[in-house]
Amino acid sequence: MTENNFLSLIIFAPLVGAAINGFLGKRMKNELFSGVVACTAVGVACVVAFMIAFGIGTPHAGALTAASEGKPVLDHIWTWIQVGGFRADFGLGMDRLSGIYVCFITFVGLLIHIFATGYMHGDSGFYRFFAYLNLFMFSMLTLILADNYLLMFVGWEGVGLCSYLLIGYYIKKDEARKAAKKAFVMNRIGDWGVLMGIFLTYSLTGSISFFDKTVDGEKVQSVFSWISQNVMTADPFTWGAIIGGGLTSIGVLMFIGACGKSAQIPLFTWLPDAMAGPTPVSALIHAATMVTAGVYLVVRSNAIYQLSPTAMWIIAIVGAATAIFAASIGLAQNDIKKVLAYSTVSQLGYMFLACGVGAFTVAIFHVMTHAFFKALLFLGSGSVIHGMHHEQDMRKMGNLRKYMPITFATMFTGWLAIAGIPIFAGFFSKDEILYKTFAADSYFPAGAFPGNEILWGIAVVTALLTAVYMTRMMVMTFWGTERFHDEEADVHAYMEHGHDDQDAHADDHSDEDEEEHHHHLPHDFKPHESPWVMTVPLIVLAFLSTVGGLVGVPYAMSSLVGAGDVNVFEHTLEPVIAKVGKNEAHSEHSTTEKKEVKHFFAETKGAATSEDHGGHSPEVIFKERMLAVFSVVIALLGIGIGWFIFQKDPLRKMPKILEDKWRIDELYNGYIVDPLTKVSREGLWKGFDVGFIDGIVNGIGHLVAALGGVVRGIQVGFVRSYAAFILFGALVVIGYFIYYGFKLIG
Amino acid sequence: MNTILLQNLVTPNVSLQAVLPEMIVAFTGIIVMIYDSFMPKQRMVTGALSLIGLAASAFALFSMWGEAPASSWNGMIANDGLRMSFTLVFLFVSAMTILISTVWTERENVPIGEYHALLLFATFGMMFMAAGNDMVIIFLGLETLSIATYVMAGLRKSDLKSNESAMKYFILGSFASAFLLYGMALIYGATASTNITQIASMVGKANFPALLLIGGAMLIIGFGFKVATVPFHVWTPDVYEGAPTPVTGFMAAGPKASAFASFLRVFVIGFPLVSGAQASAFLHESWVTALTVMAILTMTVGNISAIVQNNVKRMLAYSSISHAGYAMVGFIGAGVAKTMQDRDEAIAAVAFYMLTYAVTNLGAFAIVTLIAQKNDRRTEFDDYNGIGFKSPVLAFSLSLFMLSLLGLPLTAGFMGKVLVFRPALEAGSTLLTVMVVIAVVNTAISAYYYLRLIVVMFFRERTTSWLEPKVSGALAAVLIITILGVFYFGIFSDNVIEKFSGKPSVQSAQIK
Amino acid sequence: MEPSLGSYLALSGILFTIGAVGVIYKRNAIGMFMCIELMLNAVNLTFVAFSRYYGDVTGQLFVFMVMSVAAAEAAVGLGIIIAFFRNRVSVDVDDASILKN
Repeated sequence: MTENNFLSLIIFAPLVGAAINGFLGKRMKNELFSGVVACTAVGVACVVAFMIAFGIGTPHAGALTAASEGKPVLDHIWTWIQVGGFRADFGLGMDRLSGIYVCFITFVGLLIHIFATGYMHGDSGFYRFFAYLNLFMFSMLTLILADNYLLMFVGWEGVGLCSYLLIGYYIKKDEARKAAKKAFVMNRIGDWGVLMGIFLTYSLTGSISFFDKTVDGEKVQSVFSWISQNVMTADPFTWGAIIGGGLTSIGVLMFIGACGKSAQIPLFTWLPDAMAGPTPVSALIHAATMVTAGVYLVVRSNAIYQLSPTAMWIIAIVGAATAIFAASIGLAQNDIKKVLAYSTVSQLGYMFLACGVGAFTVAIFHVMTHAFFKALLFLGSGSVIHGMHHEQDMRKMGNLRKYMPITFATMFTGWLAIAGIPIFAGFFSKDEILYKTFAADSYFPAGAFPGNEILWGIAVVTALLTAVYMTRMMVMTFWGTERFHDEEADVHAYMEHGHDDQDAHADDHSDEDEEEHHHHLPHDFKPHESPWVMTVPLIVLAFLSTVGGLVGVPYAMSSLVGAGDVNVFEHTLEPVIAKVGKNEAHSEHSTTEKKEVKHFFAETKGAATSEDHGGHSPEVIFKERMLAVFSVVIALLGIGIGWFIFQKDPLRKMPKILEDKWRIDELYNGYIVDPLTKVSREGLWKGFDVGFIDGIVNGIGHLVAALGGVVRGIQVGFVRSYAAFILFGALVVIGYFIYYGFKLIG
Repeated sequence: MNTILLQNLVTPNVSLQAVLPEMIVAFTGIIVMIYDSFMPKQRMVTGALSLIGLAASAFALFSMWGEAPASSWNGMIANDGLRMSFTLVFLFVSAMTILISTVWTERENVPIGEYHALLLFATFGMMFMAAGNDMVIIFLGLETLSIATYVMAGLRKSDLKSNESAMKYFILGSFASAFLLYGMALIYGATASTNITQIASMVGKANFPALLLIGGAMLIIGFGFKVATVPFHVWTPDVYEGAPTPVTGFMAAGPKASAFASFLRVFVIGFPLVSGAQASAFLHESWVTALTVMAILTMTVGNISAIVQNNVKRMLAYSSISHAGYAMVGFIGAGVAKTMQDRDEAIAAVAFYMLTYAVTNLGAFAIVTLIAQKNDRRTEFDDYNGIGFKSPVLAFSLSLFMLSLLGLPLTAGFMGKVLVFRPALEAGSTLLTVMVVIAVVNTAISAYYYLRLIVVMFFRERTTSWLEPKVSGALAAVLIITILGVFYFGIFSDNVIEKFSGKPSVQSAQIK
Repeated sequence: MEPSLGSYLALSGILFTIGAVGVIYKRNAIGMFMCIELMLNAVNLTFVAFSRYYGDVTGQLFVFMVMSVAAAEAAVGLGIIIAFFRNRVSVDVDDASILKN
């Protein structure tokens, strides 16, 4: 066990930054001060994170590079609570999983902070914004670095709270307020799942710790090592396992939490609405970091999931369904940020699909590459919006490459990355997911995965759709004619808007935000390129989106160019993935690799060192290569389709059903909210107006309120009625006890 | 027969030290009362005297913590962790209430000396309830407390609401006391003793087992009323709404905790599961099941009713009902604990829960009192519209207290909930697990109304004028203490729990 | 012949029930209060009966405590009722119903 007390600096530096901005920011009234404080705080966290992760200047080997298998670097800050066998430490731990997460979060976070100093320039709440942003970093890093489930939950709730504050940052905008509430409430549903999952984990294993460790001379066994020692067989692959109270129940409950945080069906509608927040927030929280916390939770708990095939199967299905569903909606959005939001939901679906088929390392790989290219695309869109004076409607853009060359060039790489063009980061991770889904039978713990070909098909179609809608977005924004003064485009938009209005129950958010966007730009308006604080982060991210995927090139591809096994990423994560329930061949495969990659960081520089690749039989490699070729074809096809359709007619009318997001909000409203509201409104519920939560939750709220009406019928105000009520209750209690008395005598 | 009785009379082992904290509070109360009758015009002295008395009592308490023998006064007074930890809660609540009341006594022109004396007597009653290891003591403590709080609820003599509150509280309170007393009589009849320790040893071989069961039921009714569990909660919202705001804060935090203290002592310690004795098994099973059902009802009804309230005080009243439900989860966990140590830890968890609830709730009530203005006029949700950015300190503090009541991690409320849910989960019974699941669902529901207050403060426009209330020194002290408390108990709860369970938990910890 | 323990208990049970029903039945605050007193005295009877049965003074001692507490309660209770009467010129508890729902 390695201790390093500087680990806590990673989380506390942003906290200090938040405190300084929160308490002094208002008094200083100085953007430079607030910006420097916030960026320095994250910068410190970033530097420390990299030092500990790679062992630069530390007395111990880095968390990612240490030769010993998966020995985490720990920092016990204090004993949070200890009663009986229950122990929760305020302790941090960096193992390979959290190490990777922390590195990309702090680094991407730093870039976004820098970007935001430019984007938020002139905002009256500048200091407040950065205080929230730093607070978010603190919560997020606590979530990732926590060494037990309960502290992780602290971060989990914290990021939810910060996300709520930041979505609702433009407090005056009704849309922002509603979106904030929706996000918070949907996340609360998920939080319930996580908390129940944690409780169940504790009652099953007697521990909530992630790592085996010794604290105050006392040995603490981790959840996962308890499982590996005590659970010999996987849960049965049946529906009944879900309510069995075993590992499958834990898995499903935690996945409910992951659904809420990572916007999966059915809890996904908050994420597109969350785009009401400032764009750097969308990039940081709703694309790169917070929304991937669900994936982190699942991968962290992979020891649990590998023994509960039902839970994994559900995850794979939900992931695939979300991926294609969101991608189809993304095809028809006109708000540049909404396109990216649905794209994020879709990509998160990919990650869960990977988790579900047992390819946990690939899921994390995609989390990382996605963080690069999605942050890039979001910041790029922020730059566009900034240059367009807060116009987000792509129908009023066009030919921006002339005015914003750097933004265009960087977003171009992001486009290729997400579409899955080889060499760019997204290609390797997405292709791996497709391949692993296709070959799920050899990864899935319960043996054969039912329906993996269907899931693979869905994933391929999603890849095609992704390429199409991203091309549409690029074409509408950067090519074609300049439409910022185009009355026709306006009229077009207005007509549609009017049409929307005729729908009685049209989603009121989209109405409102369209209204907001229909301001006329001045006639001498020219879009402008953003300042360097905004373009430099774009360039760095574009670089990462280009080469970031090279750390995880699978053997099947690296061997093409004569390189050996250079899949550094997968080998780094290997110790994190529990060795349970795998089939024989695979475990052999990993043991041989384990020996061989002991010093892979040294090795990879020399490349091509290993001759024997036990797991890589020629047939498997061939299959993987063929599939890769196929997915490249799909990506090119998608780009081609998108190019030819939208180059010709950028304002092409998309299918109404897609534009209306499959009418999912209406579905929630029509079948759940309205009936509940109706029943409660006409029945017992009167004069109850909090206007608090919309969507599905509103219905539940009304139902609860209706119940409240019943309950408060008791409260009539007369003492004698109360006395009668108490007497009645007394008779029930006494009657119950007398029943027991009779049982006793008789 | 009389001669035998005389022989039975032994000189009690009187140990004034064992009841020193209680005595200090009682004498301070008497001094305050006497001083006030000679100097009725004073505004500060009795408050200061009371605070000094409470501090001295706390000092005495700390000096005997873990030192005194297990019991004294012929076993009538207990000196265990339960008494110590709960007594600390009472002293804290009382001191905070005095500080909070400064605002209110100023503007309402209440007889301040009387008020302080009543508060001290109520505190004395609460302390006796926690210390009593004999039903006589518990009854005396409870009545001392009740009579003082009846008067406190009606202190605003000319106000109709306050009158009504006192009247309802008095009639229903004494009604419930009669049940409690009947229960005590039946238990006495079944076991021939009023001493909890002796009752515990007799439950397995009671003379009239049926009376034991009915007596248990009666006790549940009586204590259930004081704790405000469904269905005996009906008085709570009305009484809490009508009582003067600082008194409401006091009632929700103090008397409720004290009722829990004696409830715990009588049931968990007095009615244990004695192996091989059928009567005790029946009694134990029936009270655990009955309380589980009541706990589920209590938190659910409390929450659901809180949602539809438009008055902040009433909302907090219902919220206090649901919190009693959460605390009962820990109570039941203590009841089903398998070892003495587990039991003590579960009891400590309940005490800790009451402490966290007291800290949070008093903080909230301090602000509600401040905003209420003269005659408690401004207590509706609408009165809080848009004050978020007009009085940021008050609004942010109130938001923090709401988040703690909601149980957001790193606040006291979260730690309290985790600790009381844990023992019930460890029992491994389906019914108790279902109860914990419902409790967690309920905390999710409660977000609705706690956040509503935050939303109202920050997101609504204010249409009426807003006079920012002046925060006096005393109130600032309360806010600082409660805010620090919310964070301290949320982050460093281990220190407190260690102290409450009566022994260092390092030795007790075992890995499963 | 001395009545058995059972008859004392039955009597006290009946008295307690009469008191409990009376609390709900009466509208007059003072009447309600008297019913509560009746309940307390029923309990006292139980205590004394058991005390006698066991030959143990604790029960009688408890009764003394109950009596003194009841006296204190009466004083406070009547005070509250008088305050109510001053404002309302009524002791009908059903008038006290502004606090509800």
